Amino acid sequence: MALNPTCVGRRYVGAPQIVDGADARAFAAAVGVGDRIDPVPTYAAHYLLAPIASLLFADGDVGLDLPRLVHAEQTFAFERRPHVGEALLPEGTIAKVESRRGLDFLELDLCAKDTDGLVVTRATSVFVIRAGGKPRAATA
Amino acid sequence: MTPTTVPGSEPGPLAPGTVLPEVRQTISQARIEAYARASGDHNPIHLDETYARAAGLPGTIAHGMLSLGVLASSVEGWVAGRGRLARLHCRFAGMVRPGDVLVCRGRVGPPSSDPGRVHLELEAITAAGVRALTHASATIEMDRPLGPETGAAPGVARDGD
Repeated sequence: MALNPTCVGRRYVGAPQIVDGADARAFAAAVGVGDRIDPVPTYAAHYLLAPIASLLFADGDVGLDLPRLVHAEQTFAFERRPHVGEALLPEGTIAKVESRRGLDFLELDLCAKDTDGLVVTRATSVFVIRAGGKPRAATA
Repeated sequence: MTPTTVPGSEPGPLAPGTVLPEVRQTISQARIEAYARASGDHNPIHLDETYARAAGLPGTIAHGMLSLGVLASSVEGWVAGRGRLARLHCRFAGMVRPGDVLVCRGRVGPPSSDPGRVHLELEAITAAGVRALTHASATIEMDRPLGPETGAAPGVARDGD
């Protein structure tokens, strides 16, 4: 397995993310909602997934082969909708690394909390790293 | 919750087994680029044709999360302000190319033991038949428990009322 199994439990803490109204509207428009005031649910890709994934992908110890990386699965659990103007604190932990059917899997648990420490959004992302053959890049 | 406007979706009953109206949206390269800016995911496989081909792809492809965002927005259109999306899940199974039409489908799942929750079974395919998002589902926390037969929250008007 190319992935480093000792990285399980590794935690990434992202910079605070301010929910910006213009950014949230641009995101909503991109997913087909043009008249939205509050952030759409999957705006979590912006305030949670993107900042933590960038830290994960920059971590050379994990052994990710980025050109072969595929975003395979995604789960979100929304405790509440974030408010425009509030700060959210994103973090993530490598929950599992395993090899199945010749493929390496990495499972990342993510969480965004508000400044009171209350969970706003949880997420789990599963990435697959193809072991060989023709490279296929991430789809997410 | 602010109701969303999603073309092709209409508020309707959320009774178990109800097939929800399809939502179709074209995924253009301009839209992919807009999503990259909005999400912060600037992976060049979505933006750079030459890079994407060098990575073994047929060309640029849409972010899987863009497709999931369209599916989630479809869900909100179907729910139409009667509840909130509490959970969302999918597998990214197939590629969506610029110019593809993404077709979002939903069906209300079996009755929940919790009358305040509705489970939706979802999928997103391209008009050409590529299964983009599979094993997809959503859980809705309803603002008011659904009626036992119609799936309509008390006080919500239905066709023919």
